[in-house]
Amino acid sequence: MKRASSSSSSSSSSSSSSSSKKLKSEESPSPIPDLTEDLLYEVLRRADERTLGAAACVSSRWRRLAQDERIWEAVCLRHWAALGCAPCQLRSVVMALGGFRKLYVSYLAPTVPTRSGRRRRWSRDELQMSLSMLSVGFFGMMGGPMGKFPPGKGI
Amino acid sequence: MKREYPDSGTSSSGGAAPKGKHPASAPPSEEDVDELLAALGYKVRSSDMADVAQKLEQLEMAMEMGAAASTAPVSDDMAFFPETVHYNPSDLSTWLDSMLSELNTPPPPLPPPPMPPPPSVPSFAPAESSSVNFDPNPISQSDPSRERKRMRTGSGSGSCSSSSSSSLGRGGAGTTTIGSESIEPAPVATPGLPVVVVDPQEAGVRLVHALLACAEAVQQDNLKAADALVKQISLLASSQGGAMRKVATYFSEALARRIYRLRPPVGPISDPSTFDSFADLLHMHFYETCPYLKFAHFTANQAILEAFAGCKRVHVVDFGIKQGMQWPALLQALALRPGGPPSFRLTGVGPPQPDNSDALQQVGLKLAQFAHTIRVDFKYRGLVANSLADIEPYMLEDESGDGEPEAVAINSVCELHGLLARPGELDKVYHTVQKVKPKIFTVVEQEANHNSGSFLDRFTEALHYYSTMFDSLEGSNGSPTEPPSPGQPDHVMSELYLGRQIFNIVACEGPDRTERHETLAQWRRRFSQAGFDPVHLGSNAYKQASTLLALFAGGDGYRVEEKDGCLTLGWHTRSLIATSAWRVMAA
Repeated sequence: MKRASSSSSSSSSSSSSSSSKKLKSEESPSPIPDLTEDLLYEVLRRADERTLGAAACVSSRWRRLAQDERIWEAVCLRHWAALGCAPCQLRSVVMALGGFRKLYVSYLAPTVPTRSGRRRRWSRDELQMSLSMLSVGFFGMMGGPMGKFPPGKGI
Repeated sequence: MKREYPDSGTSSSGGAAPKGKHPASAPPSEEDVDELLAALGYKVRSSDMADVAQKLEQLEMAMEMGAAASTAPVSDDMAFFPETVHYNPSDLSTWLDSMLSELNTPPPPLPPPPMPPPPSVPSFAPAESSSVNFDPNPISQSDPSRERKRMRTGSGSGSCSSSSSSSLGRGGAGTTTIGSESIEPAPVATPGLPVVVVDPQEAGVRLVHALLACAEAVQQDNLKAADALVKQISLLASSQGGAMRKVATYFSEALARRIYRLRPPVGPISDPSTFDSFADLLHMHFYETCPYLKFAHFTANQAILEAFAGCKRVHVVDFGIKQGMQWPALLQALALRPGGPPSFRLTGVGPPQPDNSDALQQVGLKLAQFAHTIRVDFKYRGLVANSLADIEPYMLEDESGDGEPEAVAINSVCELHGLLARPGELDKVYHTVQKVKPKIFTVVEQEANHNSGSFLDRFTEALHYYSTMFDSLEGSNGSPTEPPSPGQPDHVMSELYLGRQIFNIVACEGPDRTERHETLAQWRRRFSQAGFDPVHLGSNAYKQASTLLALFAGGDGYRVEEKDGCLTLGWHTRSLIATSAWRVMAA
């Protein structure tokens, strides 16, 4: 996918949002600004987690993009202390075990104390713990002798 | 349930009245007096405990009935009351007798155990089930003719006006009338006793005491007293709530089994080591609802991970593989190791299945599938063994014999204490481990001494330990911080998981008693004597454990502590589970 340069995408997104309001009142066939996928992706890639969550509720197209694993990988790595392994190594393991979005939502987000949006780096131990939890959760959900055993509330 | 009690702490009569007022009923001599009650101000002979318990119940029944039937006209009965004499309530037995004789209690609903009359107190009569006949106490001035109306006029209002006022708490308006109209009792040796309505805390203290008294009775083979106390315990337990009630129920159930020799054959209830699907389910629930097992797994995994640093071929031996919940996290950590994962071999040990299903193989398949998903080279072997002592070193050998030697880690989570039930088994296991020469031997055990020779000591220890455990289950009922899962996790299953251990510790003996927990200090001694050096667990394991607790919903009361290189997890101040690591002493 071609990536537009960041400055043009941000300016186009701001002009698109103002035009979107006009579009809504004018009853156009598509109330959402007609951003191409690339541009929308670029915008969302820079959004924070709450925005991504909200964006996923807009439409199915937005949802698909907001839930893109690459975006969530970036979210996780944004605050990632070095784990010591190569990124592709991490990616293959995490994708196999359910993906970065699941990792974030189920195991990293609960550690953020408030929803103030204050960015905070996760420590190595928190990352390792969340990865361990992801593994256990995945293993628990695998069909097997015990069948599907849902992960408990307390992780 | 409220009871009347003279508040011996504040009443001037409590314990201070001259004992000479009761010549016929000698107060219990100092040596036999039960210590716990003495601390509260009551002097009761230990041998009378069951009798006293019985009478307390009768008294309560009588008072309840009196409170319920409060419609009788009051005035004519008041004339009968002035002659009553108060007795020093610190001599609880005598006091109860006098109260009961005044009330003319009906036959008690519970068949009282036939109690031989205490030899040194001739005024007591054995309580019969058909009618309660107390020999007229020479000191008591209660007139037998008063008895017929006594029941309806309400609870013991003759003895002291304040005691009737306590029944206000339970009775209706009728008793209020009685209380206010009661004639002042004649001047007596002891003034009117203020009454304290028993609060649950006091009932809790009595409950614990009843449990301990029952255990002591069992140890002394006084099965009649024990039987009476068990009934008392279940009554007291129903007045409690939450963790205390559950613990008391399990312990009294276990005591009842021991008393009646109802030791079921080795089966799901009494033998926690049975590896059947029910035990699995309980184990899984316990894993999910509280952090103890996760703590065990993650700290052991961290130690193994560090021991395997730089090794290209690794072999893990799990002495109790169960559902294999420990290994996905280790496999993932190895997969993310800088430089890539080693080739991984797992030997899972488990008991034979009652239904001949191959659970060990199924676990292995599931783990293999997992390992394949994250691209770790994985081999598995299942070892079926009735006891860990059956494992021989050749079973754990590396058969492929490739160039690079295997690094071996042996892992045991709550598996070693069962070996103490049969002599020599632990030593055999130590011997096997020494032969295998692992890089690390990770051991997790409950942090408690449930293996002392004295039954009472074991019982007391277990009571404290499992009370704390149940408290922590109760306490971790807090609102989850993570996305809601379908329904609340089932604490009942976790409680049953712990309950089976309680049954085993209390109701079983000999080789059946497999839950022979010992403290970290005791294990340390055993390991040192067997030729092992401790391996310090390191700060990474500690940080992992702290992170686990921070992530764990409702984790406020849990504490991780480091003790000489070992890690313990506990609830508030009490450690409950300990992880340690060992290696074979250098020759």
